[in-house]
Amino acid sequence: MARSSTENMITLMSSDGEEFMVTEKVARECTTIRNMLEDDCVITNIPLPNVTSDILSMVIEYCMEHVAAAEKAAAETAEKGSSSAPAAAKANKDLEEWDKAFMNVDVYTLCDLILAANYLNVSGLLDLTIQTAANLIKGKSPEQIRKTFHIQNDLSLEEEEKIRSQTPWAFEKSE
Amino acid sequence: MSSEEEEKRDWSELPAELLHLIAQKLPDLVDLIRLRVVCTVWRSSAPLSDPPHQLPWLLELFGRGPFSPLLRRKQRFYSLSSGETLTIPLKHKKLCNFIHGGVYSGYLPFNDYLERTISFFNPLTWDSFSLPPLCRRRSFSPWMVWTGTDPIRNRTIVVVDRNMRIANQVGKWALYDPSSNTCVENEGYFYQCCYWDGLFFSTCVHEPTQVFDAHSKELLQEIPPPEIESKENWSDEDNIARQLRKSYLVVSSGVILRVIWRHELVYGDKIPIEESVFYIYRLDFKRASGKSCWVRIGDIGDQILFLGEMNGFSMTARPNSRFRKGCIYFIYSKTNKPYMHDILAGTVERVPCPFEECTWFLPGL
Repeated sequence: MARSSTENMITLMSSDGEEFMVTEKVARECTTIRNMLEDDCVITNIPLPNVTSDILSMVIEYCMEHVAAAEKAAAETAEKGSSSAPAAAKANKDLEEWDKAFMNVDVYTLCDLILAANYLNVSGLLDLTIQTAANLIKGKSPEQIRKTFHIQNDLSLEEEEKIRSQTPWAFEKSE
Repeated sequence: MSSEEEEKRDWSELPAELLHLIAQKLPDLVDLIRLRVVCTVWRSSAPLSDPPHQLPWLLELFGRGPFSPLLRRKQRFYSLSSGETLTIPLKHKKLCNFIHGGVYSGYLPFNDYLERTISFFNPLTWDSFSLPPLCRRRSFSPWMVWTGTDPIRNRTIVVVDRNMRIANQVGKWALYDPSSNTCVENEGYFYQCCYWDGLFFSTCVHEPTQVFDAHSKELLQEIPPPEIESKENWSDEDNIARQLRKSYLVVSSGVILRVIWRHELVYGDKIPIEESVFYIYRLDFKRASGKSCWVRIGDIGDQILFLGEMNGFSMTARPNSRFRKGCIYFIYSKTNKPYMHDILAGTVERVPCPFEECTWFLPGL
């Protein structure tokens, strides 16, 4: 259950030197930071050399939203003795909507968020960003995928022709 | 999006393990095939050997009912996940008929009349193989193929051969295990069957389910049918005549389900398929004591059931898929059209499909 230590403040420092004060509870959403805190409980200042300030602020925003949602659900359960199914379903739906809006970013930011979520080990955010990337790929031709993600095709013409000829039906325009 | 930014963040430099995670989330194998043409790094990060969890496609059929429809040279498939229709050429030269059967991941089972055997063909890889001659009877008509749960790695195949025109006629089943190259044949009465963990389950409507050790052929148990299917509940002749019912044995995440599908039989154009009722029972299997029984269940959790002409199979739902968990997707045998039944809501609706007639096909690489 909730402990008083959750109000401890932690300072996270981005690669470009910006400092972010967050509650320990929010910081603990990042498994990488949680492990650091468990190894050394007096640590209050954590440098994150792999994450820029704009990306770090987004990761923190995500963690705060999810911590708040979990706290709200826990409070409602404590109040009523048990959580009511429709209320819980609505809260889940709201959080899903929030996630969806949060993923309204360009592909460069998405790439950075995937790397940051992986580095900081925020499983929910990694799942969300990976799924968003997969959604951007699905149903697209290789050309469209390259265009979407700004990727240079480094396959030689012969190589590409050979690969395509193995499953030509996969590259035909569907009806 | 300045050129500076493009240099800074390059998707083709995303670590292989992260790209692999993305590939695992793709809803369709076609997406994986296309992703692998994007660039060399993406190609190597998303191996074909570890494809994403794939939900079934619909295979276009020509010819209704359990009588094997002919496969075409160019066969059309519809992916519900992507909403795409794919036309895939089949390489077979011989005259062959598709066999309605269990889902053999990635492969189309068909009757090979010249060799008098059953062959399997993967339309995506063009890989094929044939079973050794089985069920040698004068009229060779295997119509059901049941396969193990993990057929790619464990190609256990059960073939059932029965004259389907006469209900409950003595038929044959044969277990083929390529890993040990053994083949076991046995005779019995078959209506619906499934294979699970070395056991072969067979059921006739209203009759007890028989459980055999698939290798020794020994009859291990006879499990009484669920109450809804017991003879007392179906004794009214008139009732039987107006209702169509089917029961399926489905292996669903490690347990065996008996799914009974009932709907009114109406002659004419109007088919009240929307009024279908499904009863789902879970087998409480007691191997040691032999006192197994069917237990009625109200939902199937995160599973999706797919029912075909002869067999059903179960798959785990995945997020962002057009297939909904806790639902039964079934093909109505009179029209060969797909429908979806939401178990909790109790509703039945049509599943969009561009084909006049179809059945399930599970693509695999």
